[in-house]
Amino acid sequence: MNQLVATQGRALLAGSAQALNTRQYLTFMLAGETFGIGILCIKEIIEYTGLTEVPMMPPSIRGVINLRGAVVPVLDLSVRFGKKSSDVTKKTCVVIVEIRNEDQRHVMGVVVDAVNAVLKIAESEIEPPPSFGAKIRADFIEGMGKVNGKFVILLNVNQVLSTEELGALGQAAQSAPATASALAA
Amino acid sequence: MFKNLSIKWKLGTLVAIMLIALAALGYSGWVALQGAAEDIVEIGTNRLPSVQGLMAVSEGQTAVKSATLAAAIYENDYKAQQDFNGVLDLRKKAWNNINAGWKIYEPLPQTKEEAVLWKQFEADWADWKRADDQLGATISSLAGNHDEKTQKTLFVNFYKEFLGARPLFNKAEAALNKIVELNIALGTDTVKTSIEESATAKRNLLITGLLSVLVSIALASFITLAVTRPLALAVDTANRLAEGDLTVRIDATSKDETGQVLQAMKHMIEKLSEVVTDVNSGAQALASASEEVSATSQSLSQASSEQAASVEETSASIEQMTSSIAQNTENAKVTDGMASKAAREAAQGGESVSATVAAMKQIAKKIGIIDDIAYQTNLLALNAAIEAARAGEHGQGFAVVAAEVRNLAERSQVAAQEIGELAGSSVELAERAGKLLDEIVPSIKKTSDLVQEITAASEEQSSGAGQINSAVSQLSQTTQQNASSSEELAATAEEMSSQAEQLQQTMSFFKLAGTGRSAVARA
Repeated sequence: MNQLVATQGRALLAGSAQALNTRQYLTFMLAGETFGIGILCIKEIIEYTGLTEVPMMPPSIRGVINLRGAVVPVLDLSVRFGKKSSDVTKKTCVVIVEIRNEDQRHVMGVVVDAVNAVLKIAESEIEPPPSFGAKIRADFIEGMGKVNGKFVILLNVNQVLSTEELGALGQAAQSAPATASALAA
Repeated sequence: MFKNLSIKWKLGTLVAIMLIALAALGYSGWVALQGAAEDIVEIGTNRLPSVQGLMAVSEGQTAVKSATLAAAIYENDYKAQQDFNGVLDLRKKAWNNINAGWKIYEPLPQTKEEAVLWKQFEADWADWKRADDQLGATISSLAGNHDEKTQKTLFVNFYKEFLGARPLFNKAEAALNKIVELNIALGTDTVKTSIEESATAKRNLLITGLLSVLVSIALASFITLAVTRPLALAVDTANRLAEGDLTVRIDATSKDETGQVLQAMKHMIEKLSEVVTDVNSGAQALASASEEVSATSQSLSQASSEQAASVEETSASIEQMTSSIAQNTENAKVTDGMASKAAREAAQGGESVSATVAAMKQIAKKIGIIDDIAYQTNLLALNAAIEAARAGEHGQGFAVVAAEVRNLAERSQVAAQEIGELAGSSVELAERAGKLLDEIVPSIKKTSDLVQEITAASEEQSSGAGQINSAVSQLSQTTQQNASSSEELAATAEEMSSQAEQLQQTMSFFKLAGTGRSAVARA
């Protein structure tokens, strides 16, 4: 353990030297694709339990959870990305993120299929987002990180979880479900 | 043509001729006899009675005369009236005789000469009768007279009448005698004639008899010959036939019964020849056929022996088959036992596998728990890393700890995963094993069923083999019977052949016409 701590300490020291070039991202799986979010935005990761559904909410909002007494809304990213809602497995986690928007700090939860690891990705290994080919709206994407030869889509949490958009989405959704339900009926 | 008359007619002719001869004889005899009879009748009824009658008359005349004369005895007897009556009676008697004789003669036929003489006699007689009547009257007067004188007178009359009557008496007597002589002469003539006639007749008869005898003999001998010769021929032919000589030739020339006999015999010989020829050929055919039968029966016997041998082989093979089937059944039973045991063991294995699988699943569950623990630890480590990152500089030590924890968590997760994989693979293996065992069980069951089927089939086979065995043994028996029957057949054929030979030998007794002995010798 000591040896390990020492090694890790050296690595961290080395890493801290490049602290400005290396950022840590939490990688997770969503709908079969690996995404990443910077850990500075992340508060914690908890398991997907105790979700309380709230009616009359936009479909991307799955519900709310009780996080040590606080009410945290939980967002379904796949719905947010326009895909269908992902199934709940035992690996499903809720990533509690904190977004800063107009000096307001909102705590939200994001449902992910699985949490992988915390990775250090150098800035040199981050590519700018592509202008085409992604199924997701490009403003979501902060960049593409190269990890082990594969790309990880680094998400811009603030964009992903922008409240205005959510509000707009919610209003649109409020009207949409009615028509959708009318059509379905 | 006479030859062709039937014997009946021939004999009839003979008989007719003999009858004709007989008739001729008879006729001539008859005629002769008739003539003789006539003569005898002539003599008997005419001459003799004539003579008799005439002689009676003559005697009577004489008796009258003597009786009348007897009266003279009593000339001097004056008491002799009775005697005179007696004389009268005598006269009466004599006259009765005369009358009787007259009655006898008068109706008889007379010749011319005799008639003349008779007429004459009648006249003479009448004369005498008148005189005699006178005498008679005189005597009756005397009878009624008791006077001596009258008597003397009467006697004088008597003597006168008597003397007067005497020449009349003689005349009449002579005439009578003439008639008698004539009759006698006639009779003698008749006798002579008769004798001559009889001699002639006898001669005729003799000649006729001889002729007819000769003719009869001739005809009879002819007929006899006509009959006996063909009969002798027939006898001879029959004898030759009896000796077997069928070559006799018969010429039947006549058409009477003997001819027919000969014709019939000829026919018979022909037919017999035919029959014998047929029998000969038949015997020959029989001999050859019996030889064939003998050969066939021998080959049959051989074939039967071969069949018996092959049947024996078959029987042996079937024995082997039966034993192998029995073995099969045993093996099948053993296999069935083994299959049942295997099924049980497979079931047990299946159970063990299920238990293993269950245990594995338990392990997996437990591993799952460990995995969860690892995961949660990972999460904790992540959270710790996040907190450490947010803490910045101060959280670096914590970050290290968090990293270590994460490593541990990773390791345990990895280990748990590996264990889980192992368990999973084990479960997989066990499940596969279980599936295989499960697959085995029905296979084993099927094997067991099949083995039972095999057993049943083996038993059927066994029973079938038993049936075949019995059938084969029956076949063997039948074959043996066949063999013995064919032996018998061979023997019978031999006998038949010898009998056919005997028949041929017997038939060789007959010598056939046209073929001679060669026909027989060929057999």
